[in-house]
Amino acid sequence: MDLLSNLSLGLHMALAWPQLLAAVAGSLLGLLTGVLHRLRPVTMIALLLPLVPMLDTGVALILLVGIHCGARYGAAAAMLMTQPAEPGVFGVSPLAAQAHALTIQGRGAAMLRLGAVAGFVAACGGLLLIVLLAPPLTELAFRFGAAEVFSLMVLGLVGSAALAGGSLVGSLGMAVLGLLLTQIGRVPQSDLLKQGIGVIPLAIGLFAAGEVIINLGRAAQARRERIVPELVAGRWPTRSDLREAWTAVLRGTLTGSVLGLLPGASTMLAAVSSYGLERRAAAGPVAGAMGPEAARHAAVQTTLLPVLTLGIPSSATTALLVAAMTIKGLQAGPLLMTGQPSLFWGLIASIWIGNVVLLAVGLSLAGVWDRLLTISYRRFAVPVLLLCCFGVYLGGGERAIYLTAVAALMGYFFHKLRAQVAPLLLGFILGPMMEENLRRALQLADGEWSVFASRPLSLGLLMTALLLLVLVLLPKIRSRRQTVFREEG
Amino acid sequence: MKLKSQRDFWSGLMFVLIGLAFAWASTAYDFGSSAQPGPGMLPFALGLLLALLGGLVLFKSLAIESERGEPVSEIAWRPVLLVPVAICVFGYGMPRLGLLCTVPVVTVLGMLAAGETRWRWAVLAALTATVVAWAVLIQGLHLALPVWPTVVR
Repeated sequence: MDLLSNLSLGLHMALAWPQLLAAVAGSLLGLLTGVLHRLRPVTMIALLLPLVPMLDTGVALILLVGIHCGARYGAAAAMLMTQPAEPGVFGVSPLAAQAHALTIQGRGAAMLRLGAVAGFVAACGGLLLIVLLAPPLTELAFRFGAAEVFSLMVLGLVGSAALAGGSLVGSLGMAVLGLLLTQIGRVPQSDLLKQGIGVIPLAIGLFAAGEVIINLGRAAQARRERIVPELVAGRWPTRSDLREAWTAVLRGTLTGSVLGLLPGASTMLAAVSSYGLERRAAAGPVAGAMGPEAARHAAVQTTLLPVLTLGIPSSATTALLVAAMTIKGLQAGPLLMTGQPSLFWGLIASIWIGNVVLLAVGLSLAGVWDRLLTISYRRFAVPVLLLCCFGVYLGGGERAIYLTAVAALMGYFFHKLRAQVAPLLLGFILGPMMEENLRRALQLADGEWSVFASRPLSLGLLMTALLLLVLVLLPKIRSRRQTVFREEG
Repeated sequence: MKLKSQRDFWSGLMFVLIGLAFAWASTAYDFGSSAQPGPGMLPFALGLLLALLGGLVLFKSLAIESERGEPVSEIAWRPVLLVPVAICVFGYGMPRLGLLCTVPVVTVLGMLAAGETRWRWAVLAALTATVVAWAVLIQGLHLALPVWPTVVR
């Protein structure tokens, strides 16, 4: 059996001490990121990016993927326990409000434990889908010529803009801006820009340092945003909770696994869709909270599938994974699985191990998160700032630091204009690969641009991108899209 | 003329200006042929595309009504100015003054950005940050970072 031998290969790699340690550390770090006030997984991954050159390839990727998956569980804790902030500005999200109501009833710790189990079940479901779909998808990807790869990347970019929050045209603009930034430094221009823009200063500036400014700016507005009730520790979910939740968890796992494959803010889309599903089924409050929880976890796992098999990241965090692979001289895409099978399957096995860790921590420590949640962002603004500086300086020296300062300002002003940074980063990561494939496709076709339309697979991908744009612009879907992304608030 | 959405107006304007700047700058380079695009072709095309998208956003901001005019909220000048300054000071200071002099300055700047005005706390944080950075990075990881100012070295 191919599958079993692959999995045993993966486990063999993942169970070595360094890899095991990386999986545990990544999950715990991710968990902490999710729980702490206003730190995001993409920030944490950006901060760790400078470490990548010093680590073994497998260890580095396992660490980053662990953060990607672990942050979800922490975020669930934060959502359960905090008062949905800023009513009237974005509209209170019904899901968060309902989750918070459960905590007020003294069921917070029980719900967190149930959430840990739901998340684990969903993660297993999502991983199963990856394991089943990865080999055929990889095979498909090998049949792609340069034209198809280019069209697929166009679809990925358009999809990430269409399914991100904010205005569609604005997000497309951000993606194009990301592509343009990769063009800097191809030909000698000014001294500062001669070597182009590195991904580490850009990512750390836009996400980590930019967020420091954003959050300190928020604190300056002096408003207590969250009200954290005390968790009643030592409570476990009851049998009736389990009975109420299990179908919702299975439904959520299925919804999340499938929706996670979409580009853009697919985890949020998964949670909101699952919540709508439970509402329609007139499910109780516990099912209404656990279904979306499962959907979110499942989606977090399956967002990795397009990156690992096709090399197309769909979110800012997965884009940084591609950047980490590039730093290590690996090419994200079908070559990963065939060329480095032990790395590929080891990564999958590590994600599973990380989820076991999350389950154990979630079940045992469900009563202590409230203390972490009350830490204000101001406390770690300075440590984050110093980490940004050291990380960038070690990788790129003085020039990279100045780029980071500029990127941080850009990150703040994009935030002020509600412009989406994720499409920009995606464009920046995909840019060089798109250009290479564009050149190769044109070369093979003697400069005929029609090559992208005359090859059926390529045409299909481009038409899908076009269809996506038209769909998002339809009034009915447009208003629904706005309600979905209100959750982002 | 009244703006229908301030946010869209400024992002549209930003896209148009950046797009046109790229397109204009790329005219200095070879466009190549369709089979072999030169270095000027892609930035030119992408710049025009960005300017076009920016034009759409700009048009929307002037023509289509939005909720409450989507104003750009107040800019928090203190962190906006101090955080980039702190980052630049780090970059300028490290190769010239070394870790032991740069980290406390950057820490104090960061504390100021965070609105901490009590000097006792800022000094305490600066000392802690310097000792931790020195112990972890220099003693622990043996990273090749300058520790002392160039004058002393």
